[in-house]
Amino acid sequence: MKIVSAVMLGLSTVIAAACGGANTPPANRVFFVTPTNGATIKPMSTIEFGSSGVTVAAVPPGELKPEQVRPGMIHYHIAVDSDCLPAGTVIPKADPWVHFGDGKKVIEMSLTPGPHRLTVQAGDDMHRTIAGLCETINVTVAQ
Amino acid sequence: MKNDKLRIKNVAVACVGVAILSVACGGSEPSSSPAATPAPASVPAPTDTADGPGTIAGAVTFAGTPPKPRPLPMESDPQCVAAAPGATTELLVVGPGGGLKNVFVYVKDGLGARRYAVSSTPVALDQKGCSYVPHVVGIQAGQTMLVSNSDPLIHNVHAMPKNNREFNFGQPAKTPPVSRVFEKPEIGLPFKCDVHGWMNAYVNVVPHPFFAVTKDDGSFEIKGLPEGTYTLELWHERLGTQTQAVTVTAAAPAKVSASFTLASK
Repeated sequence: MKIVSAVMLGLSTVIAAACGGANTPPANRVFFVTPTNGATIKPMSTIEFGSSGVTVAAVPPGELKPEQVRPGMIHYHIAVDSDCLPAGTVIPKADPWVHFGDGKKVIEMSLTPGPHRLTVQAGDDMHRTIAGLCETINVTVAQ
Repeated sequence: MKNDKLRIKNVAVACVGVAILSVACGGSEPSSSPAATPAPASVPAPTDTADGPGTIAGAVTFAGTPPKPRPLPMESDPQCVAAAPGATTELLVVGPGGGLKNVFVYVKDGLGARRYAVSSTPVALDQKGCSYVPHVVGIQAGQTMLVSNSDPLIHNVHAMPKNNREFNFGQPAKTPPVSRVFEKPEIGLPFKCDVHGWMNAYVNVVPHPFFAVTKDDGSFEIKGLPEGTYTLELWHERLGTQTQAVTVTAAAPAKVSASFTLASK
């Protein structure tokens, strides 16, 4: 019994350490799963986003009031050759931002050959940006 | 012996630990990526050609006073406003004589076991002035659709089929046309753009080449049919569907007229 307890305690410590420490929640972030920064990609490539510390969910239908925004729930947006917007900005329903209000995380992207910047930025239920939840990578599209 | 048992126990605990770790740390794992458009499935060889002597010619009208066309809510993207000032929704487009545009008309039944070769000519769908052009598209199952972006800005082409494979691709300005193929028949397959919420189109996939989309004046024509009696279906995104029986002979085009109202759905 003592051995089992010790193993459980040890395991939980290992889990806590591996996941970022017993008292430290995982850092809230969004990122590119693929491609990776500096990658050379095809003119039509699959782009996939990932996240930690937040929940990705579809935006509820209809007009939302600020009090209806669900804390900790985000959806992705991608921009080509554009940078992160400041925190608190409403991501426009306009070029260059593709919205993923359905909660999905994959898109194929057609790109012209040469260097490009890709930015993934999270928005809340009202498409407002959140501090720290944005990443920009550089890729090169092969001829 | 005792040591062996202990060793086995330790290994088991380690395995459980690794398994728990992988679940506990979870995070966002890469998921399976959407595959490219699948290669056309092997289908039986065609048995017929679309050069029969029969023609169906008709006109579709809207009965009643059509609602005033609503402007497209393009304010969120000034580039779209500049590209298509005054653009209106295509939900219900009625010509001066009451002709109803964008009705998809096709032979729903009556061709029996005939199988027709897939046209090698691609069907074009453009994004121009922040609208899909055309708004209603007909295509044969297995035929190539070529999607272009003529606008100086990014769109994404998001098809949301029920019978076919969903796809979603971004298409920035100056990128080449993208080809896609639908393998299965499907009427009213919606396309949207997740940049510009007002942009939509409907693609209609049928297993033969006998279809048409009504023009500005509501007219349509379907040529090359063999003689026979067919069920014709007329589909409109807002007004629903109608069917008609029509007999086609070589002697003269079979005439069809149909009328939709707002209550006819």
